[in-house]
Amino acid sequence: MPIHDLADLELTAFSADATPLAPVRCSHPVLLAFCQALSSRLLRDPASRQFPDVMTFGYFCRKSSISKVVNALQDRDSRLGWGTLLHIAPANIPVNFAFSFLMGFLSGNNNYVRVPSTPYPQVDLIVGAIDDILADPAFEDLRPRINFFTSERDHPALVGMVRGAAGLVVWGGDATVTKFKAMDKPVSAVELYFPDRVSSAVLAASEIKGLDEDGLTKLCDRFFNDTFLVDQNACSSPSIMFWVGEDSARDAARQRFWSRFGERLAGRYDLEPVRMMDKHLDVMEMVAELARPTSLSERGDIIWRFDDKDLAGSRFRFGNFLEIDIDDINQIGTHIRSNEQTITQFGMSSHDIFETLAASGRMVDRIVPVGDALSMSMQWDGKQVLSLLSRQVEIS
Amino acid sequence: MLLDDLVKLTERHRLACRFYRDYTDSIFTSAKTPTSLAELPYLPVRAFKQFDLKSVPEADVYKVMRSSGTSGSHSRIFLDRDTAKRQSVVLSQCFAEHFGPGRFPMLVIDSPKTVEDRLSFSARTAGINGFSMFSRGRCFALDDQMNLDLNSIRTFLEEHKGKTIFLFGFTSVVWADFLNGLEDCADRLDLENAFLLHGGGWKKLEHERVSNDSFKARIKHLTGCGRVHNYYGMVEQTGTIFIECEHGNMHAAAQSDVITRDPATHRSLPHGETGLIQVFSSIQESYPGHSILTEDVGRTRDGASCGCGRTNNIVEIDGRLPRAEVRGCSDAYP
Repeated sequence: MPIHDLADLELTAFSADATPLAPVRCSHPVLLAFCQALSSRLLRDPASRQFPDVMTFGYFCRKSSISKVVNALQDRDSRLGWGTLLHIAPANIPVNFAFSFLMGFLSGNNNYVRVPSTPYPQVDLIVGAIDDILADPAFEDLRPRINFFTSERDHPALVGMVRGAAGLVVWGGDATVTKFKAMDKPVSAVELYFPDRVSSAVLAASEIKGLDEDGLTKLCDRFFNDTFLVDQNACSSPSIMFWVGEDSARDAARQRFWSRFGERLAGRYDLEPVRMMDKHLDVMEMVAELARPTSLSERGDIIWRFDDKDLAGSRFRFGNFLEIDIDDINQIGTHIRSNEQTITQFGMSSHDIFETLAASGRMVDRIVPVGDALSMSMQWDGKQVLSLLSRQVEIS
Repeated sequence: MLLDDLVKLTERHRLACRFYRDYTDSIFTSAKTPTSLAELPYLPVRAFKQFDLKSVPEADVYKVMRSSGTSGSHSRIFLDRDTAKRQSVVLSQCFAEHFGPGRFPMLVIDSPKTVEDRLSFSARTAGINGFSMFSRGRCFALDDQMNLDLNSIRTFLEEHKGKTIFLFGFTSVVWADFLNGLEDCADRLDLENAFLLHGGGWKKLEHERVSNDSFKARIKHLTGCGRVHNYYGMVEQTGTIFIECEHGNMHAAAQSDVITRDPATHRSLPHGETGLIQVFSSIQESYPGHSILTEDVGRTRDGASCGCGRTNNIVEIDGRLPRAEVRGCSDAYP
């Protein structure tokens, strides 16, 4: 069961007169056994070790972590999938398709997952591992429930799939989400959309100023994982950095952070040439929107730091960051953007940030320590995904 | 001196194009006057696809030139009468310097369809139309199906017997459609008294590993034409193009120059090192296209090292930057 081309895919599962493949109970032991097998297969494979994101997915699939997720589901014995799901995975994050699949799989559905057409080795590794495991007779029943395919953007067959799907999981861009929202689908279809989001980091200046050398390096490496590991492209990668504290502490902390970050970046990261061009074009875009010049506090080879507050609505990627100074965390509310998803914080309490935001009337979906921006879970964009993708049957 | 002209031109564009000034004020913040080409502000070539950049009032725009990109979006280049005129004068001088003055019977290695469809702004269309100013009498060597149109060619050559013929075409079209066609019909055209100017890049021929030498040898073999000149140029800097000299080197034209930059950092590179090509042209006054960082990869060499007598810098082009998918949430659906 390799990655199919949509043209070669058997699509009877989406047809109205097909005998439906029964959904699975969320508590069925075969789901857990499959995840465990996938986890050991991925973690054992030397090829996976080159890819931290594949390893992370492998860890996520361990029995202990999956049981925790499934056990947290309310009434899991009387829960089962809705039927056949169509997943449209995003192209920007290679392993996202696997998490989307897992969401549909653990909630008991049959899954058709459109994977990125960009040839990511991570996709081949994970799909290859799933293939191997499905060869085991113990998992024979799962085979028709797991399908991966690629297709052109507007392949006509997608229309029919959407029209016949019990549920739809679509990852953004906004344009993609809008398009799938407008398509014909069964009135009962369960729809889950993950549109474009933006994210920020909140850094306590005095804490960073006081870090020892090891702590500083660790912070920089964790920040690297949140940003450059994925070319700063994930919706949860911070684009704005809030420096919280008094003037002098902020300057000292910022100085320490960027100087160490620059050292850690050197030799580990090259901006792809095309992205270096995009970086210039992004600045042109900012200038066009502002209709005035903007300003950079630092223009290094890769890191360009902006300190122009009016740019909060602009795109920051490819090593561009907007830095905003605030004296106190309670000033953060006004800066939170309407589609803010994740706040990564250092030197503060996530809970305090939550309370501050709650009082300000602005809210985000995740407040996590720096370094955890990309940690996927079965809860995403403020939604309990497994619970939305499964039917909870009332039995009395 | 070119540098002085370019410094003045930068100032002119800064005064006349607000957006250009705002952008250069944002990231080219050095207060001192540039002392080398590398210190001049530059625009990424894709800027002309994303933004309308002009340094003349709308009323003075005489012509908008377009080129298609692989992505479908195209550059828009705004010309006033002066700039348009200067472009043809400079191109004529450069052309005459290589091929002699005057106009020639022009055999276009393409199909008439390529220029008929006014809605397709392909580089091929622009090239054919642009170089047609050196034609006196024009014939298309391929039919609408891109097959060799031997009858038309023969009639045309008969009509212009004894004259020097100007062959013009895109590198890949010449190689694949024209030369393959000639080979298939086992007919030999007599183009000994012709010269070929071709451009557009070798990318489409990459899998066949066609070298400039094998390209020339095959043309010589099938047509007898021994004067074959590649050129490098772009709609964003029309007029100043790099034409291959008789020693096989593409020199910068008068009033233009070239440097390279490290693709990852954009630091300027010395002759001989491979990087992104940046082109300069002091004739572009109606739009800020006098200093453009392209997405072409190659290197420069000192022009004086060439035996042809031209001293302007030489450019060697390897190809285009790989069009890596721009990854970002909003581009997520491929």
